[in-house]
Amino acid sequence: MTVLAVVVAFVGATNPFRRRTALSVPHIRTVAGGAVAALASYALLAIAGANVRDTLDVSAPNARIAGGLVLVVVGLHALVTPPTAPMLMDHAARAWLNPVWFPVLMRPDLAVVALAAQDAGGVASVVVGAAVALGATVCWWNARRGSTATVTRVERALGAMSGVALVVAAVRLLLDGVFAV
Amino acid sequence: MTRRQRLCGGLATWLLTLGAVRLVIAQPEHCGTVSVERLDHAIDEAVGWASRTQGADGRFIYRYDARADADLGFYEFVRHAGLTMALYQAAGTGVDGARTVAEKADTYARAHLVAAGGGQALAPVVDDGQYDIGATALFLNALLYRRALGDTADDDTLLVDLGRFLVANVAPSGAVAAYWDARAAAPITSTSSPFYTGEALWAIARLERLFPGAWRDPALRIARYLATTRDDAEGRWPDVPDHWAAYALAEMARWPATSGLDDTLVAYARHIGALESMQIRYESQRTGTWFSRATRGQTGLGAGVGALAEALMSLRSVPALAGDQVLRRRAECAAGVLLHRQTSPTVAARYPNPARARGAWIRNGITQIDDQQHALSALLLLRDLEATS
Repeated sequence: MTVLAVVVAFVGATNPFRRRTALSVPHIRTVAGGAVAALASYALLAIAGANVRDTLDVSAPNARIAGGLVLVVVGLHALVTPPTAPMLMDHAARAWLNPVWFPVLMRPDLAVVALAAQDAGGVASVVVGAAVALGATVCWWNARRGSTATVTRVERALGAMSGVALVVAAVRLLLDGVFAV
Repeated sequence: MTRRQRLCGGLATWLLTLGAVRLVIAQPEHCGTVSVERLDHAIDEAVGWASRTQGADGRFIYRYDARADADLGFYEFVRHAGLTMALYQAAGTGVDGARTVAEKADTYARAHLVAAGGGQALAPVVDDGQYDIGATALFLNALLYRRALGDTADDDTLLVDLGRFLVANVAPSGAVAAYWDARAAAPITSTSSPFYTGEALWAIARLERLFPGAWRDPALRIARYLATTRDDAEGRWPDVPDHWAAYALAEMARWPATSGLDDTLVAYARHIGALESMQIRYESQRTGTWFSRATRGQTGLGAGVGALAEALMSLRSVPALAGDQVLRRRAECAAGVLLHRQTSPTVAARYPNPARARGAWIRNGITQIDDQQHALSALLLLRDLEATS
């Protein structure tokens, strides 16, 4: 897997601009806690990828094709649908777990990409991609507390652009899987 | 939305996504288990099929309807020569009875040799004045395997003659005409075949190994044409996953003195490896169930799966790919698929004539001699690798 495609895939699918409204918690430490948990989860999936694939009789290239196909759908979805409406603030102590870690930041499409990691380089790509994407999500969430209508429109456009970038990266992953040995 | 609702929504999304991925996109690749014992058994069964379906004249049942126990009544030399070649390959590894069957098929083919192109060619069963280049190429390959059996030089003049005919069909660009016009005594340059070019290259590359010198230039011309021009020039899309070229590249890597493989040809070898790998990763997902047919199509022919394994195994002789364990796993997967799909004695017993079904690769009730040819060659190549590693 090319590092750049994986990083763009993670950033595009995590999509900090669309995810902000779903991260309905009051404190940055809650968002950061969920992001760290998600990063650890993706890293574990990448490390366990070879064993999981062997158990399921799926080769790494075919897993990459699967991840690419799912991400194409996710990217197109981000392109044509508005972000979710702001949700009620969740003040629970374990909000970093639910909803931040699951279901907002821990995503099945990226889990498939993480499972496709073929070797040490692939695992590193997943970790870097997840770190960049989740870091960007935390930063954007922190920067965007308190919004105006104009900024919201910009955020929506950025969310759609992330969708486009995701489609491009997903196609790259897909072709990478198709033409791999 | 409550926390519980979000949790349930998230779980549903995971289930739907992973379920769809598993059911539709990432289906299990059924590669089976490959062992020397299983390979030996399958090889014996395939040679047995050839023996049981060969007539007194040396011809095989070309296309056979196992459900109706009917010879579908067509014959041509490309695949006859191909199966003859596979049988000589088997004889070379000591498979009982393979040589006897191959010799009968060889004798039948020799009766159809004619002078052409400054050498000799294999004329069609019914001579219509158009000679398949592939028939001569595969027959030459068969005789090269035969020569290796006893290291006899009896056929050397014939080998060179067949090679000369092939070279007469090679254009300056390296393109190989698919047919020779016997009346005009010239290649039909407007014709091309996805397979004959590689078959001709393989035969010529092997001649260069045996009789170094004269064959090097035409072989390199064809190889470079295949690597850089063929798919575009002949309008072939997607690119041809050319197992014959893979055989040839493996041969060129072993040329005396200097390998014939430059960076371009090594890159081409990798390209073939990627194409074949893609196909076996897909093919191994096919199981023949209604769901598999709906989502993956019907199972591939024995010839198709065999050709995949032949290419993947041959590419391991290219030094740059020799240590590639993924390539080896894909080849083993193809062999596993072949082992699983070969008609066992138990399954053969359900057909009206079990002797003609047993050992064959049958799809939709039909088998053709190249199903056994390619599968047999593939299993022999893998047998050799498994036994030596």
